[in-house]
This record gives sequence, C-alpha cells and structure tokens, in this order.
Amino acid sequence: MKNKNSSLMQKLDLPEDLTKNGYHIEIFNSCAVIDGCRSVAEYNEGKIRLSLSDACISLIGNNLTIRSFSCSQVTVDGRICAVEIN
Amino acid sequence: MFIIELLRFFSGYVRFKGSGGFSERFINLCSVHDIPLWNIAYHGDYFEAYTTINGYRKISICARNSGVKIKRTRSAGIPFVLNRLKPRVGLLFGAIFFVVCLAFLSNKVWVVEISGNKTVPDDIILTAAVDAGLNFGEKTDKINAVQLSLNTCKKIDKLGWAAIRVNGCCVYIDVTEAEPAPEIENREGIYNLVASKDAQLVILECYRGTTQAKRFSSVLKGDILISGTADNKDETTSLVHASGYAVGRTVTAIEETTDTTINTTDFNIIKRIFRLNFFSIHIPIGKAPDKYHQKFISTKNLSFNGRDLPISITCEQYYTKQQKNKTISVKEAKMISMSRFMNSAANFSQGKQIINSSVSFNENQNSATVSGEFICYENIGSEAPLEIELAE
Repeated sequence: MKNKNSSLMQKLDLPEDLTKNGYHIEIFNSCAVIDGCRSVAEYNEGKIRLSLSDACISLIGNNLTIRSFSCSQVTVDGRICAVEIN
Repeated sequence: MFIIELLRFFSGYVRFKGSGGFSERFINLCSVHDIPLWNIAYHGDYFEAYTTINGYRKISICARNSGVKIKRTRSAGIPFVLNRLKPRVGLLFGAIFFVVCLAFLSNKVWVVEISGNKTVPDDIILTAAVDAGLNFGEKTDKINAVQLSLNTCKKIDKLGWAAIRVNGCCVYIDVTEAEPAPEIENREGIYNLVASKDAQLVILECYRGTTQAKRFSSVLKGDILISGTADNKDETTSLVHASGYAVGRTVTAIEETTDTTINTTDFNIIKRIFRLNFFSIHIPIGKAPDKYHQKFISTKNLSFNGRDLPISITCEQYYTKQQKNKTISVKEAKMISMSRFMNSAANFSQGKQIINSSVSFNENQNSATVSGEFICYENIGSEAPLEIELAE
C-alpha cells in the first residue's frame, strides 16, 4: 500500500509528504520544523529524538527547545549540530 | 510571532515546571489530550513549558500517568488580571462611567479654532460666532455650518468671507477680511478750492476751475485758490466743481502746559469674583457687588497640546474710582508736558513735510510748558461751496 502511494505520488509529480504517512523536515539556521511527527521518544538538553511514521529522527545539539508541539508538527529551536535519521 | 504572543496574552497562559518521571511520555500524552505546549526547554533535571489555562486544568492527568511533578511558576494574561481586580467593583463602574462620558462628550463642541484674521481679533470673531448660534457643548451634528458662516460674516463688517467647518469636537472658523472700498471722488456740486490755513503758496496745480492765486504769494485762511467758475470760449461762464493741488509753507505752533496740581483717578479694588466655566455652563463663586465703577475680566483656559479646552476660570475684579488732586514737582510736570507735546507733534506731522522746527521749555513754580514751532509744507487746499446770489 505504501509503495502504491509512493509510486502514485511519483507519477503525479507530487511531493511524498502529502500522503498520510509521509514526513517533511526543514532546517533553518537555528530551527528545525518536522511535519509528520508521531511522538517524542527522547528529550534532553542535548538531544531530541522524534518518532516518525516509519523512521526516527534525532536532533543533536545544545540548548534544544521544543518551540511548539501540535498537529503532528514539531518546531525545535537551539544550536543543532547533527541530524540522524534511522 | 508578536500576534501569536498577543493572542496568548489575551487568552491567558501558564508557565510550569516539570520534574521527575518521564518527560517524553508527558509531552506525548499532552499531544494526545490536545493540550497545547510551547517553549519546552530542558534544564538538567527538570523542564519548563507553557500552556493555556484550559490546558493547565487538564494537565494533571498527563502528569499522573507519566509520573511528572508539575509546579506552576507563572500566570500571565488578561484573565488573571481581571480575576485579580474582581473584588474592586469601583474600577468597573469607573470604566463604564469613562466610556459613557467619552461617548456623550465626543460629539460636542470642545474647541473653536479661528484662522485667516489679520486685524480683527479672535475674541470678536468668537463672540460673533456665539451670537450667531455657536455654543460650546452643543452637539456637532446640530450645527448648520452654512447658516452659521453667513450670520457670523454679517455681524462683523470687516469680514469679507467666513467658512465654518466641524471636524470631530473642533469647529474651525476660516475668515477673510474685507478690503476697504476706494473712496469715490465727489464731482457733483459747485465748489471753490480755498486755503485751509494761512500760508505761502508753493505749489498750485489746477485740474478744474480757474486759478485765482499766484505761486509764492501769501494766502490767508479762506482765500480762494481755484474758483468754481470756468470761462468758455464763447465768452460765457459755467460753474464747476473746482479741483486742484495746493501746497503751502505754513507755520504752526504747538504748546503743552501742565500744572503742578493735577487731577488723578485712583482705582481701588473692592471685590474679586471667580467663575468656573464648563462648556456653556457658568458657575459663579461669589456675588457681584451692587455698586462699582469699573470691572475688569480675565479668563484662563485649561489647555492641552496647545489647544484651549472648554474648561476655564474667569476672574472678575470690581473697582471703585476716586478723583483727587495731586501735587507733583515741576520736573514731573515738565516730563508730562514733554510727553503730551511729543504725542501732539507726532499727530501733527502726519501727511506733512517739516522743513524746520524749534522747541522751547518754560517753567515756573506752578506749571511747566513745552512749546514748539514747526515750519512745513502741507496740502492747504480744501473745498468750500460756491455761494451764488441770484439777481432780482
């Protein structure tokens, strides 16, 4: 089903995050906006790990603050040094 | 971001501190229960976050399930301010009274501004406008600006045009002063041009009539300079309105004498009364005396931002006057004579060319005199009606 959706999106030339299970990550200078987040898996001052539909994203840095957490969108502020996606 | 913060301030928000338990689980449970959280910051062994008032009411379930201890650190926003002011009912009544006053007074005439006048004082224009129907405290929508402009303009002869417009609580009166009409020379009637004073004739130009005097001759007051009779070519005579320009060399003496005993008037204040003016309501504080000779009125307006408000205090001072004789020194009498002489000389010299003058002082024990003699060129021509005697 997931593959079907993915191939349909590719055929229609639409971004994949429009599907329900998709996720979208934007990183600015000191801010990251993650759409499609399910939950917070780990949170401390130096690391925030977020559960996505079929992956996990870890933001590693200093003074990390969750600026907002609503409607499956998370905005993280702070000095982001690394991003890990598994 | 500012708008969001403003909206949060209006709806109220709570900052709280969470410690112990599982903070991640707490955040996830808040998300499940639709409790908005923002600015979640981790500080070692505790975290701080913000939520709404309704969110904070529901947060205890999430805290219990996740084992996090919640402690409120700050409450801010309008609902908390209002809650704090709840026992002070007077403030609410004051606010309602303020709004009612503002609504009631905002459509009244507060300020009248006058512009465009050069010689006519503001007070006279304002008085004329008040007489024409403009009142402080009157409703602005009841003002008939066109009719008021016409009536104000009619009341002052020196005004050529006046326009009144209302803007908010302010009434603007724009005026233009009338230009004086030029004098029209009277050409009707039969007149001679005669000498108005004794002089030596220096210039004599005849425009109409027949010249009767010669240049550089001496003329006495009343002598005919140009007669109103004109000889025609057919040897007949017709009567005209003589006109011309006659300049004579005259000698004029001016003398001012001041006695050492002068009559003076002393003003003694008997009562001072204040009056409080609020729009067109005048509240007198005190009663005016029955007998007085002179009254002086001064008004002080309350001003705001350079504009006079319709709130003022009027001070009325009542005086009695007393005539009495006063003895002054000869020196003082001389000074008074000199001052009077200067005024007389200034008035005399208007329209004349003074070619020579001399001033002398004379004083005795009882008076001081300043006398002067002025030799000048001046227009001595004046019109006098031609008297005709009909032969029987």
